[in-house]
Amino acid sequence: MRNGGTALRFLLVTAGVVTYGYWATGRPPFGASAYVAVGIPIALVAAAALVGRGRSTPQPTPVLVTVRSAWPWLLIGGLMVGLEIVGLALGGRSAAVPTLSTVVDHALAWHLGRLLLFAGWLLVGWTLVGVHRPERQ
Amino acid sequence: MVVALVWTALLVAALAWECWCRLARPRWLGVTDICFAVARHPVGKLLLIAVWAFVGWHVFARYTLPA
Repeated sequence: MRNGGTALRFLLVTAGVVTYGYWATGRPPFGASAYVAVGIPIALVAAAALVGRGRSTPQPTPVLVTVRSAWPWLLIGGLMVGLEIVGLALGGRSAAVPTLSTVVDHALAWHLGRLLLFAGWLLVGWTLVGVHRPERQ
Repeated sequence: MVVALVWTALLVAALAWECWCRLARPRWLGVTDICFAVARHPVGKLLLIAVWAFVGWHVFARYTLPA
């Protein structure tokens, strides 16, 4: 019974995300409705984070972040930031050195691509809300 | 064109690296481990939410379809 309720809730949430995402990603960019469509989840996540709500996200064992343990991501992030700075310095729409958003725009050309990315973005936001400070012992 | 391929390679490498970190649990951290560690502190959490909001705003409300 509990599993059935969980499955039903999962289906309802998924249907809601797909419906809202389909509408939101169908708005023309730079329009008021596009800003509202993106602004609503941002406002909800910000409000949930500020009042400390949100379902608790299953969190991995706390880790110590050091340069030694995080260097692969520092390298990847550094390369991305460097490439982005060069792209922006060349005007942001350079064909030779495009920025990340210019590359991502190609994936946004299809409504389904926008919908999938939007759903992933919502999932990341909701996951962030669910991260809580560990209890002090 | 070459740099667009470099971007694609970087994104694929980042995704593959993260998957490997999640599955094999090597001695290096995945980006999710780093984000969870940052998000445990209230200021870090708000900072990550601000980055998340900027990305959504920039990508989904201010995109330009390629010609």
